[in-house]
Amino acid sequence: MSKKEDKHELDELFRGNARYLADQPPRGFDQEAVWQQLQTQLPLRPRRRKWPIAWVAAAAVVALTVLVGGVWVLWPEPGTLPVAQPQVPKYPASPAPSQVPVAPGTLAAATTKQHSQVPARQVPSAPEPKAEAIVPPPSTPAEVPAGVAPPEVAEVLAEAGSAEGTLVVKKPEKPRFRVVHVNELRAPEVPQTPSRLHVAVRIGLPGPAEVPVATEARPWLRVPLP
Amino acid sequence: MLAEIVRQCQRDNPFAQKRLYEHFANRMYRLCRRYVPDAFETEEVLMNGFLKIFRALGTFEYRSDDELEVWMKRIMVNEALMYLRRKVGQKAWSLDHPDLPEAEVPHAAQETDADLQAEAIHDLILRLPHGYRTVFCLYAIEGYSHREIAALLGVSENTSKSQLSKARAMLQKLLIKNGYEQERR
Repeated sequence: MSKKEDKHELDELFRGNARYLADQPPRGFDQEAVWQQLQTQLPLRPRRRKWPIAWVAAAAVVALTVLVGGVWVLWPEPGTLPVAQPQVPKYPASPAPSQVPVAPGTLAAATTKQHSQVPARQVPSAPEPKAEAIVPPPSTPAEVPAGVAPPEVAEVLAEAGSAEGTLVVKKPEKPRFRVVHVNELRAPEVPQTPSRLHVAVRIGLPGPAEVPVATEARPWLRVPLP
Repeated sequence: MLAEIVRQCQRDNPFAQKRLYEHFANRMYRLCRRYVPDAFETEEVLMNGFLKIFRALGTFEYRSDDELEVWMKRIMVNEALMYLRRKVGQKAWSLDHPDLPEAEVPHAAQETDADLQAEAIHDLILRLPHGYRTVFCLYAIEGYSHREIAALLGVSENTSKSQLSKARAMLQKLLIKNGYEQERR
């Protein structure tokens, strides 16, 4: 046996020996214990999401589509929409009174003059009723007492009477209200009970300044002196 | 079977990782043990090697079981050599006659069973010094060429050849000393 063959045989001996022992459990090797140690150092497996992103995105798209479709279906058509009425403010911002130039000497001018004294905010935006020339009955001026009508109305009536014609402006009278405080309406007159009625009786003569004025409703209290 | 295990390991499946570990644990432990004389440190090298395998499996393209084993053995060998480089240093490969202590070898001379005899022969490798043992294992058992060994250890090819020659001579003596030479003849 040559030296080279010996070397090769030696290599083959150990190679075959290693191959033979390859799957034999080595002495003193605790495979499970090493795995337990190894397991702690292994990179953690990424946890799978219960709801993958694709499903969440698909659900979001469906929900959005349903929402938009529902709004599209339930939304009323433009023809059925109630037309928004332009609301005229009760009290316009412009405080200037409306002045309408009218030829002097006419009943319309007088009426307009009377209206111009009213603040502009009380003038409705609707077009003014046109003055209508009517022939008043003969009893009309006599029926209106001068003391009842306000002086302006009386002035107008006087001017109407002095005018060459008998034109009278028929204008709807505004209702007149008396301004009262709310407490006047609320507070009823509570009759005082006799127990709470205080009667003051003065014994002796009153002073000269304190002598009450005798009235018919309240007679003098006469107290006999001893 | 290994193909599916590798595929699952690439998805970081812990069950597949354990299956792969159980399939190769003994083989890889013995491989590491040939380079690392201490049993406790061998387990450490084995763990680090498997960690690298699991991390590198994502880029591994499975073709056959043999190719997978060769790939894993290369990683384990590199890990063992890295350990030796840290532990012993670069001088371990280049010394002609290292003064390093021999590895502890359990006595197996009296064993008669074939497995025990095989273990005893395997343990003879552990009696070699680091430099001899490393080159002999790489060349005779793992099948590396001298050029590859020189590249791995950072030595010249002549140094590798010299180390191998001396390792063989020493093993021959150990075999004769333990009564194996006559059996081989």
